[in-house]
Amino acid sequence: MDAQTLTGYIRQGIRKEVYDDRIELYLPFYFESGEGQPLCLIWNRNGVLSDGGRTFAELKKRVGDLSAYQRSIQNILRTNGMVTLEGGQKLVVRHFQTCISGSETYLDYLGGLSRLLRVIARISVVDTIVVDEDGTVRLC
Amino acid sequence: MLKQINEQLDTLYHAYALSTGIGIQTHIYLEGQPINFRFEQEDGKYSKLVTTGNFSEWMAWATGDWKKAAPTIKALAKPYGVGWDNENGALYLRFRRNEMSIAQAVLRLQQAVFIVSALGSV
Repeated sequence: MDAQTLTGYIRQGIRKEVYDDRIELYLPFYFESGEGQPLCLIWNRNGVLSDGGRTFAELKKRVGDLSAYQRSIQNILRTNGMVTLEGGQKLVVRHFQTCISGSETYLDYLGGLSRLLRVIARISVVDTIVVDEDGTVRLC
Repeated sequence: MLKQINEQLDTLYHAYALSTGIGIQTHIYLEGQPINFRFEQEDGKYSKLVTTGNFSEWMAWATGDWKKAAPTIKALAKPYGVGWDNENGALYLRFRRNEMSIAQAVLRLQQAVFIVSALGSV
């Protein structure tokens, strides 16, 4: 196998759908309560990235009441920046870092995607970890 | 704007040749350092995904002593089927293609990295 073939294999497991008003990215993200349904992340026409509320929906499905985990969730959001919670359910990235490459500047959308995935990963296991004020994690 | 996003997404999980296997660019950054993966052969078959050097450095810094933190690291990574190499300070995932696609393996290792990298000193 060479690098090009491997890239091809990885892409087979990741679906991207491009529409006039949005891009949907389907990733085989592992949720403990999930039934193998891929995580759909959406960029809207304004470049706002969102998980569509899936993270909290999966967590609620597994643990029910989230009130015991609010402090850890707030600590995750506060210490990871960029990602905000909207409507109590949806994880959203509205602003992306500007990068410079030679004489060009561009917005790093993949960096924002990675940051969102980091927050999703941590929130999705918030019933098995405790997240401190500084964002560090301990086992429950 | 969507065009730019689409173009950047075309580089997501791009693989590149290494002398020790095949590298996978993840776009994970810890304090500005890229954390990438290496796809390695075992028994002549590509079946092992491993974190690379920057992640070991991060864990040394974050935990102060990863050997002391090993039980917690292992417990945090276990739900993803990810193991911990206590000699090299690396997370790894062994998998069979008929059980898991490479994309699933990449995402599982990535999730384990995201959880374990938040560990403080133990």
